[in-house]
Amino acid sequence: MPRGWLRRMVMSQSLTDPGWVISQRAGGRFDPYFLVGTVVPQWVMWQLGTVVGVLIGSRISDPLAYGTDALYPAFFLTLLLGGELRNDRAAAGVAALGGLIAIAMIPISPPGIPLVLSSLAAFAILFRRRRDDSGETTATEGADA
Amino acid sequence: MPEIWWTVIGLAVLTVLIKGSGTLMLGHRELPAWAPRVIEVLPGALLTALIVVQVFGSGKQVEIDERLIGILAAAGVLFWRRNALILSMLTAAVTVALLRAFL
Repeated sequence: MPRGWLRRMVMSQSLTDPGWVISQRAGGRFDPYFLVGTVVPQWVMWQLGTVVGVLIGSRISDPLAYGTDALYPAFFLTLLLGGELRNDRAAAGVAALGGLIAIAMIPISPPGIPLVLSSLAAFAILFRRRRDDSGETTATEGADA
Repeated sequence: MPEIWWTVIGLAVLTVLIKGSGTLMLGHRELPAWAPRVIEVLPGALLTALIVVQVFGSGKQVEIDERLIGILAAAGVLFWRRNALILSMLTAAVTVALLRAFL
């Protein structure tokens, strides 16, 4: 992150889920300027979408009949398969674990908690790294992309 | 000014402060050695959880319904074209819409 608290605070405002995903760089780092850039098209389209919704929204009686609730899962699935996992087997394992945690928590916790707890799955990678040190084969994964 | 506008302004200010506070307080620190590896795989876990909650979640119930077929159709599209964002979203929505209309 750049220096200066005011600048940092303003740049933080640009954080969104998809922006976070695509501004990731190797080694768990981020490109903060790329992140700010992702906001511009998002903001424009979001406002346009809201205008369209206000204008014609009332004419659509039941949005669920058009499968609108399936749009977001498919959106996140594209981010997941197209970007996040690529050919990273360890990341896929963590993702699967996160999904299992979420589904197990749905019946027994208030909304939002399944998501928060799924992030614990990421810590599983710490146990895996030690094993990787002994075998070099995993380092070449993703080379066939 | 009606009360609702004060509520909107108050929430907006609060949101900006919350969003800014993370980098404000932690942005200058170097992360511990284990952190980057965890952060690298974190989005995958969160995205999967988001998908799972939205596909199977129905309040506090886990339900298997049209949404599962929809997301599988979207997955099919993505295995064919990895970054077909709009196409996969439309496929999921149309699949679910058709299933709801005819089942």
